[in-house]
Amino acid sequence: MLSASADLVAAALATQRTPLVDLRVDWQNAGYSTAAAGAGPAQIRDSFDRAVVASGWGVADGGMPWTTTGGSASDYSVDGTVGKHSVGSLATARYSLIDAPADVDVSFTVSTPVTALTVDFRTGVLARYADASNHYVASVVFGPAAAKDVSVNITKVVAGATTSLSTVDTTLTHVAATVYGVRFQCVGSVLRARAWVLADGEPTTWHVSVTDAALTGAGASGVKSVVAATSTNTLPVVFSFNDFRMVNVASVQDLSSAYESVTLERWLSADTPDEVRLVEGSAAAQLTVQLAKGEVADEKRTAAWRYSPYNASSPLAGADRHNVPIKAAFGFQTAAGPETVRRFTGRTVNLPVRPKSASAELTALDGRDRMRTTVDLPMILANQNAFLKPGLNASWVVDYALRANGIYTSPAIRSQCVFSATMHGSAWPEVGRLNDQDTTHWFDNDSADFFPCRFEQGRYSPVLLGGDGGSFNRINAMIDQSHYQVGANDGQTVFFEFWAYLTPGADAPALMFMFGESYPAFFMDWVDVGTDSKLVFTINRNATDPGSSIDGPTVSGVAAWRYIGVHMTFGTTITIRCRVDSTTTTVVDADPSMVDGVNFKYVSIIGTTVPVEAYQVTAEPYSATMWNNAFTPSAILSMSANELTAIPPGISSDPWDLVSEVANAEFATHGFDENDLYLYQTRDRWISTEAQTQQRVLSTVDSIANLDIDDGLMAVRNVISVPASPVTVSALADVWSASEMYTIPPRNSLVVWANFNDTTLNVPPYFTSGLSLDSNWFMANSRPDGTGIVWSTGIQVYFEAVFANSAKIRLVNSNPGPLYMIDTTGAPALHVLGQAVSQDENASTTPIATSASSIAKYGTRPLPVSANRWRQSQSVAKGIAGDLLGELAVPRPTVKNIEIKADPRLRVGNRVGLADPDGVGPTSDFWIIGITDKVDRQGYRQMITVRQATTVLLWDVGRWDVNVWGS
Amino acid sequence: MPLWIGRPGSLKSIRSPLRGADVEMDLGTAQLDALRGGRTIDMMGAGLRTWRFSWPSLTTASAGVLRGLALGSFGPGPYVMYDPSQRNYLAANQSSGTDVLALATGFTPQASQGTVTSSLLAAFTGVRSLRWLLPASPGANPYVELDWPGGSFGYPVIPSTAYTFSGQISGDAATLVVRLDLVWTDATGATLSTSSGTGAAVNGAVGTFAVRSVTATSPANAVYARPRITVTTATANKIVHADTLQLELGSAVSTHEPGLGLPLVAFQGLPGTYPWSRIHSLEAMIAEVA
Repeated sequence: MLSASADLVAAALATQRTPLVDLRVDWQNAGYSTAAAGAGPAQIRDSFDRAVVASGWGVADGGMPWTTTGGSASDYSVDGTVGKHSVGSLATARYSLIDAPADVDVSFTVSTPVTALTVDFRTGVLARYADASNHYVASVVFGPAAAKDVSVNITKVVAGATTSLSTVDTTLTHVAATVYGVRFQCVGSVLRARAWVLADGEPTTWHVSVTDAALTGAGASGVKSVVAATSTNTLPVVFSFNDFRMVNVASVQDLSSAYESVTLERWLSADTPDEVRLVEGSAAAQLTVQLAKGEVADEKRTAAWRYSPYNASSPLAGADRHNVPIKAAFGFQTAAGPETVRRFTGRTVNLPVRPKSASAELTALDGRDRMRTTVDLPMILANQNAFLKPGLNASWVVDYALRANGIYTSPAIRSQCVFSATMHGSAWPEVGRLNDQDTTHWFDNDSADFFPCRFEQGRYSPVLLGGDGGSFNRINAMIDQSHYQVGANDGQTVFFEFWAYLTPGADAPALMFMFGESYPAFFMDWVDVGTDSKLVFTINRNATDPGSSIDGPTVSGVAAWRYIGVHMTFGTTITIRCRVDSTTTTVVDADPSMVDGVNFKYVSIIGTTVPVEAYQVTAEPYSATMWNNAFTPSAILSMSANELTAIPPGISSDPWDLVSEVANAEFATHGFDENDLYLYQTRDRWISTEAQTQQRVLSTVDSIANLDIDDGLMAVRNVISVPASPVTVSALADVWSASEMYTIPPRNSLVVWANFNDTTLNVPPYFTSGLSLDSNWFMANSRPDGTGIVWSTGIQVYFEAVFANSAKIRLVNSNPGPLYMIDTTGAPALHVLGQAVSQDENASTTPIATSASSIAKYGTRPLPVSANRWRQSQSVAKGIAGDLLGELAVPRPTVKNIEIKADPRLRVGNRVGLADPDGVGPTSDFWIIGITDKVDRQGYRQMITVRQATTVLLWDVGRWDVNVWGS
Repeated sequence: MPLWIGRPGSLKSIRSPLRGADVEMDLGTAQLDALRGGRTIDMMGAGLRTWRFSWPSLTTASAGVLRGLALGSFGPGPYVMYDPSQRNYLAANQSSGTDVLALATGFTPQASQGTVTSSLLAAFTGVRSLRWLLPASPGANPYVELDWPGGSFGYPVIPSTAYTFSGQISGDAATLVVRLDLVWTDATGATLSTSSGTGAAVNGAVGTFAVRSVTATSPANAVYARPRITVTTATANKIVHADTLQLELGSAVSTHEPGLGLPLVAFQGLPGTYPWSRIHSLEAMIAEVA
């Protein structure tokens, strides 16, 4: 269950309750306001179309008064069209102020009749103005002289000290009498400003966006203008303001008292027949809000008025209605005040207004709606017959799809990244490529040595077990093809980071190597942790350098996952910063002997018993905030035990559909939780404490309003067939041979397309002259019948492109005579090697699990499970069939749409007890497989559907084989 | 007492309905019945009221005022309404000393003059009181203001009318001198004058409450009043508790009644009959909206 305070639990279970919904929409996309909305209006506007005011600005539309400060009272006026600052003295700012909350979105228009001559004119929007010595101001700076450039600046003034936070030169030019728009958003610590020529329309991007938390309290908003002390303009300079608009961000974001009803639905859905109702599949939540209230202070300003996208007078005018963040929490008035539990985080998808009922309906979806970027999966062979052996299980596929959609179990690809390997189920790098590699080993956490992974909780951890056959195991990878060149005093930088499971006092050698391309342009560095628990960074600067080691921070405490980062800056010296978790040491290596122009080419993760994850190498410059040790994941994946042979070729898929398909293959569940955290949960979920321990009892005495029990034979399945779709991978062999003789003219080249019969992976990158069993090869002859000289000089054969089903080969002849691609027998001699890959969904024998006792009692009731390209192993299919049989061979009650007294802690997957003292309903434990919350005039109710909890048999840990199938 | 209704600054006076008024308070209760008899009541409403006033004989002028209000002739609604049957016009959470919400909603301390919370440490009535923790460096005469939920300038007032603001005050130091104020403002929130009650030192023992009050007549040009709890002799980091607060019409402190708030209302209907020329019988159906 979701956690809640004792007060909230007491309120939820009480017989008299006051339900609450805390509903917020971040219309500004600037973060949720935590400021008090205050009792004022949602917005204040001033069009200045009122009677002339000779001194001061009078009262804005809606009754809020302006106050002024700076200069004399007569410097401020309203002429019935605009508000004016008449700046008749230099270096004295004029302020027009209006009471405002802390978080505001303020805009206005401004013009001046003249341009600046020698120094800037400045005008701007104020926020959190306490006095002239404490406020924020977003200024538009009208530049002087010929350029007349326009820049935007955000400045804070704290205790009289002025600090410019950021300035950006726009592409605008200041023209006398041209009207400019200016907007300043101040939400929490997020400060954003932009300017534009009014006639050109408001842009959607910000010129300046900074964060600052120096001033947080409510204060006035308004406008400011000033002419600098050295100005030679004729005074006064008149600033004319119009269309002032200040939106109370906290007020418009808070819809907690604006709804008529709120409905939240979160259900598991899967491919199996509805009557079976297994606990599996995907869960996507949808929030629907009926909005019935607009402006409290004006009965004509209804919800339809407020939320209509066509209403230019609305506080939401210009704000995005769609795809903006929304969150909802449900709870009660408790003894300690209002308390709620977050039950939904997502984005808005629709907000139609209903003029007839003066209402609006807001619909939002959870993070599922963010997964829209089509995923093109790379073709990867795991280990079977593979030249490279990165390993592969299904969670890597899930992780890849999530990362492509901005959802991360471990840090995203950094800027200027040249190598990245998550190790989340495969050593296949997402940036860079494997060069050569031994088998990746996966540490079996089902053993007594279990420890959790850093990012992917589950049964396996990636580890390179050393000493395989007396040699190092290693992953060698090439960094990005452009290489990465460093050298003495060239100002370049190298940064790498990863996580490793380190035990203080235990040797962890050679966690990561980087080395240059070739001798003598040699540079190599590596990092390890010795038995003294110190991080040690070692460099070889050139071919003869014996190397020097630099101590970094010490690993202390207990065995745990540690963040390790190293950053190098190459100047006249090398500045090396080493990081372990949150501790950084900096050492300047002054040895000038390093060689210029080293091309960093390889990253090597060399055999160690230390589990490692989330490697990255980048070229980004140093920043004190670059370390990722405090990374917070937006996804948590149970590592799948669904071992894959290969990623089938040609997969380009909708990410949600792809992940759902992967989940269906192993009857996992996935989706976003109440706080927008993505969860991929294998069957391990059902042996978790939450699933195995009764969370609470729902009784017909005080909690259950109705029961609709279904435990008929329709739910029984006793002949379970689960097909596997094995992938066949051939050994490295010819996948294409020339069927004709190619002739390369003298000093010319020829392009040949090789079309493979099967999808092919692991085509070696190079051609060799003469027969080869592990490389592409060719033979060239000076005579067309093969009786001439076998030619190997002055000829180049290389790939211009390699695809899954074809390759483009270029043949270059630098010799004065023609060359013929034939062997000495006269047979064509151009060969491409590779590993042919095929998957046949109908090729395997479908494992079938049957229960004789169930068939005898209930008759034959088959469940043919659909084929799935991600279920590639017979043993996996067999295990799943057995697990399903255990769950489905006897009737188990499914109780649909139970109306209960709402408890905001309940969530999908909870194990709850149903209790009926009259014995009409079941008294047993159930899992919640769907839940709907609804709050309206009928109270706060929940509808849940549950399935009887069973003893979970896990197909993926081997126990099933022993217990049911026999050893 | 007549019925006062209208926009702040232009409240209209209608003579009292001769036959009184029907009023309903919708608590918005919802009932969930468990299968075996258990019952849960969810309180979904905010205690909003609906009035049905009846005037059997009104002059054309008075009827015109009502019709004008209903049609928005004096500016659009919703309107402020002084229900003559009501004594305490403070919001329920304010008058109860935070018992209703268990939060200090409706109380705003002067900038940099401490924090306010809902406290279980002391109460005159109910179980809670407002707790005001003064700052380490209190200014001169720091105050906590009682906000009107319907607007930002204070409670709309009837001009030239006597008001009494009262409450029970306690504190944790006998050096604290506390009084109650009514600050009268114009339509833009600008202060016209301040009426102050008599300040007195608190007992010094938290939980020992004593009444404070201020009685004053609103200026003829007053539109709003800001009720304040003011400490005239402030001590750093000391605490003031306030409970059982009341804002009423009249020149004396009356027995405390729970506050129902000064409502914003909207007309729902105005049926009438014409017994004879120029005498109008009207019924006004008026709903509280906030």
